[in-house]
Amino acid sequence: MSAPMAAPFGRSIRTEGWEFTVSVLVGLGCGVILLIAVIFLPWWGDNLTLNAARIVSDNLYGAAGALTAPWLWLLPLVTLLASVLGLWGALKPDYDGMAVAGMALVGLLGLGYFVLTVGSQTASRPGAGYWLALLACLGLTGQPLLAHPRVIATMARRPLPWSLPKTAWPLVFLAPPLLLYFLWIVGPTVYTIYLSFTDWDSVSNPRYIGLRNYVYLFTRDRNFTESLVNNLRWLVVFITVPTTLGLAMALIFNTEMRGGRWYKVSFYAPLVLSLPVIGLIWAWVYNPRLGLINQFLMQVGVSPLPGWLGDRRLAIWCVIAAAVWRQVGYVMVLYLAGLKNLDPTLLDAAMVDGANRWQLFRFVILPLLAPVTTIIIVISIIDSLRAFDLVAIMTRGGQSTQVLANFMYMEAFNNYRMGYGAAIAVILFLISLVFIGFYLSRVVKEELEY
Amino acid sequence: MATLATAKPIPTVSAVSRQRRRRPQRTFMYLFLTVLTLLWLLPIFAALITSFRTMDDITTNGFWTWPKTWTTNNFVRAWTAARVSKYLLNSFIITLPSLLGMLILSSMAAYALARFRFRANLWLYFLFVAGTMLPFQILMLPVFRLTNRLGLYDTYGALILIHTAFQIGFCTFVLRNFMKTVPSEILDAAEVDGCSELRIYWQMVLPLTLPALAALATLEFTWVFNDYLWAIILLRSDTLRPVTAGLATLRGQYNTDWPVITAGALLATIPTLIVFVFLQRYFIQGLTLGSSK
Repeated sequence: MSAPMAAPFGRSIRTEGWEFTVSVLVGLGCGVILLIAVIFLPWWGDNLTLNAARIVSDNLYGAAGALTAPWLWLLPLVTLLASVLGLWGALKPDYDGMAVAGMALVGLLGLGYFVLTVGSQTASRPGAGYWLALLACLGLTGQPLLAHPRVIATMARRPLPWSLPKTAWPLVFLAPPLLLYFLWIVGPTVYTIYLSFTDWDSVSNPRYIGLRNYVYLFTRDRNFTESLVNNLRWLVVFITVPTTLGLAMALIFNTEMRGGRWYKVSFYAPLVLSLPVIGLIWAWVYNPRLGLINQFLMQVGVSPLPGWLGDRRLAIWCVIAAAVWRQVGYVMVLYLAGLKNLDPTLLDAAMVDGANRWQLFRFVILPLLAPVTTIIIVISIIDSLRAFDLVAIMTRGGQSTQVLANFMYMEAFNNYRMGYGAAIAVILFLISLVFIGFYLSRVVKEELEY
Repeated sequence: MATLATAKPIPTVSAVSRQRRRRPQRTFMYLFLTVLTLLWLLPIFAALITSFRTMDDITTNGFWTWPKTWTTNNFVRAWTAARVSKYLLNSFIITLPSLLGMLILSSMAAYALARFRFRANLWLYFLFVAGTMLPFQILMLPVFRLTNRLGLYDTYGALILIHTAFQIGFCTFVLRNFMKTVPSEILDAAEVDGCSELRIYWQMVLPLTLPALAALATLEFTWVFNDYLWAIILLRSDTLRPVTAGLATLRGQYNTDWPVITAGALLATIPTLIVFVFLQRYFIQGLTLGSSK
């Protein structure tokens, strides 16, 4: 009985040693604790009537006396470092020792973290959250013992004291993610549609006013048409420029060339910059008096100098250019992956048949890349509809650069016309729904083929 | 087969002669690419050089001159006076729990969708896929209201919850397709041997999906770390802001002092840059994981 049962948990499946188990378990255990600390701990505390979450998270991270400054810095940095080491080690069996060291460090830090934070909360009696956190910490430190292969082997031999009917298992796994997903994503989507038929200032209750928000949007609001046109411009540029540039770059870098890696990296480096950073950097480049471009134009002798972001006709194109700068690298990466997956025998066959390079590209490579192109276009469209950060940072929607996303934000959170903002959001949603539907239909077709 | 074998050498021969002819073309190509790359990165170089200069130097001598003085003072000011250090810390406090939350929850959902057959399976999967492409604006008002009602407004928890929830869709989509590639025979065999589903999930499927988890974690780290929209909607206190929203504040404070602004922007990029440099492979994998299906 015991011999065949040991097989699924034994070395036959897992190629790595016991350190692997430890690193995974400790890492995940640590994650659970952090999660409990940040999300759930407040709700089990004593003072439910007060703004409990605020109190605890202030005490955990910010308030004077909770943690001293160096500790505040050390924790996230070391946690990040350790989890990177752990991941690296877990993926490469040779580095297992490092993974364990890293993860054990995380575990110890987690413990220290709670001793320090919970210990400092002497003002009120410890709530259930305190005991929960303590228990989790003890469990965390016990993990290495539990993950020992001998312990696992003995545990595996023993059947579970309880068992669920097979049909209940999907529910067990799906309930937690679905609960969060429905509360935070699906529910809000539906609720926004309802809000769009109301007049709401965020203080009083929403008042139903029928289609009036939409009527006003389409008949009287100039900003709305401006945003719509700008979104359309953004969209057209996004599905043409980065796609062709990215494809060209991918074709260049797909050939074997020395140092190609470095060129490649510099082209997709802008992808890791956050949009606010890109917005700031480009705002500086576009600066009318001191910026890089105008200073250059001045030396060349151009006058009058263009105002870039200050110019009503140019501003939106300047913002889009910054967005394209970021997008090209993304498209290039996707095309490079697509090119790598091409069947080389097909290319060889075409070469044998005497196709020249243009024919090879036009009649073999491009058709074969069609699925990648479709996905890139869908992603570009969705991204252009989401455009918000750059506009918000660079122009705040001024100089005729308003886009739907920023327009909605400003109406709802600056002018407190929440119902009106909801109507704009619904229109944005309906436009993206066309493309979501298109993409979904592809996914559905793929699934039903199985 | 025979024709193929005889035909094969011909292109190779021509390729060699073509390569010889193309040597000057090659150097031209490298030159072209180098110039293009330098132009492409010019905004970043501009920011880098600006951050080491003083504003006086730029206003009097212009941008395209060699800096008269080099100073690291801008970085010091951005780090301490403009509180970029605190903003960065906030970013970590928000990002790391969200990352763990979304990976744990979505791997559970993905496991259920990949392993079990039940009526709603495909519908739920489509629901997750559809959710990845929603515009944030459609969620903004109800999420704002919900966090207010729960007393979470202006806390880290508000941001952690929305990031976790929103990214569940994408992570589930990727992980579910990855888990589908695990042959169900080994899992069924384990089940026959009396292994509980929890144990199969925890000890067999999760370790096998580790490559996908690593790629996702890297990608999601940069996404959540770089978020700006939710930070300005769900937070009010300056002390809680992540670095993206902090930079916007910094811009307002140091209105025309561009060296400090660019120094702050560069400091804000360091964490994602580190992730990018050391985990580039996983980052690229993550990007392509979502689109290859």
